[in-house]
Amino acid sequence: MRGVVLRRGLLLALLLLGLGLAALTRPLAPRLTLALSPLTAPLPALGFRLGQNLKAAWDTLLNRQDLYAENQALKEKLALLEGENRRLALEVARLERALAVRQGQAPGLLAVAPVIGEDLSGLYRRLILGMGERDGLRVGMPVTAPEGLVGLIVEVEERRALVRTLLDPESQVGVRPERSPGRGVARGVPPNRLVAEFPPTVKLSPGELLLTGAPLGLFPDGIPVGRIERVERVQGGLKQRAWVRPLVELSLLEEVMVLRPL
Amino acid sequence: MRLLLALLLTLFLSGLLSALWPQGLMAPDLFLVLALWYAQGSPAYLGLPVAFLLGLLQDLLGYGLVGLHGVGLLFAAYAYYAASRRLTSGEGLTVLFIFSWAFLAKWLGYFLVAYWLRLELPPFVPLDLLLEGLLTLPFFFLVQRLRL
Repeated sequence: MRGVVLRRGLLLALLLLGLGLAALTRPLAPRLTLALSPLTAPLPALGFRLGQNLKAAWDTLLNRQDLYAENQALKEKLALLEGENRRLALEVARLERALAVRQGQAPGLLAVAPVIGEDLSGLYRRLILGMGERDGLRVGMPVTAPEGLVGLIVEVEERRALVRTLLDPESQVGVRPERSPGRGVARGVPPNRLVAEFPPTVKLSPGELLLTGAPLGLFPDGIPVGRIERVERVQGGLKQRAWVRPLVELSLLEEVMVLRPL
Repeated sequence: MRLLLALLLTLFLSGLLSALWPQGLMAPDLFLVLALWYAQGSPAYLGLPVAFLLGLLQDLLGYGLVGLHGVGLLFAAYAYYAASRRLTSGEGLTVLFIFSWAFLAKWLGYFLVAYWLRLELPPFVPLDLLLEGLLTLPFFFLVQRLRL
């Protein structure tokens, strides 16, 4: 009972004190607390500063996560662009080769066709192209590479074409020396040579370049064919035979240029 | 000594919370928790004046009316003693009821001072009140385990 009275009395006294303080200090409200703030502020200020630092650290951490995600996305994009760049570089190189053929060998460039197969039987030297009738290829079209002549299309399917290369034993190419007049016919001698026969009056020497010529009328004039390795006289001197190494390395070809037929 | 340490910790935490707490959201009333924590281990003749002084300190820190929080915490401590005397101490619902009673008494104190000074009473938003109570309650449960 005494405790209750004490408690209620204390409550009443403190309530009156509180109300009195509130009433008395009301006109001084901001000034009084501002005057006392140097005494009360340091510890909350310390907590506040720590809180701000924690918040800043958290924001930094979140930003770092953003940066990590952004970095990953950029890496993926970079890989994509690098792939695209490689593809475009190959495309540019292919077009440059086509342009070189168009400018240096024949203006009638029809298509750039991929080489998808090769006849390695030893009897024939033929290439299979990954384009066919659907792409406009026809029998009799000359096939070249930037280095020189490759051969002639002899069979065409819807999506494939067969090229008889100049190394094929059935191949015959009209040729002429680069620096002197004269004409001859070159035949393929597998695996990697040509034999060109010329009249004895034609001046031939090892190292000389042979170009396509008019005699057989299958190829445009002036496409490089090969270099003479050696010259020999046959049939008692009635003919001279030149052993020729072709300029094109057939086994390394990845694509060829198909020209319009003459 | 423990009260002083608890006060310093409360001051520090209130500063920390004010930096971390989202603006506009009701924050937990740590001074109420401190006053009730002290009251639970002390007789009323100590608990009531300490609660009143803590309220005054809160007024000084908040740059507000001196006496507003003082009366609020005084009422809260008184309500705590009254409820504790009538209810058997324990966990769970009893503690929740005691806290709710003290929390409402605190706000009654605020409104009494506002009425006494003929202040313009703030709009009564029960949701804010409830939110403040809910956010303060975990701290109260925590200090229940740290008796004086």
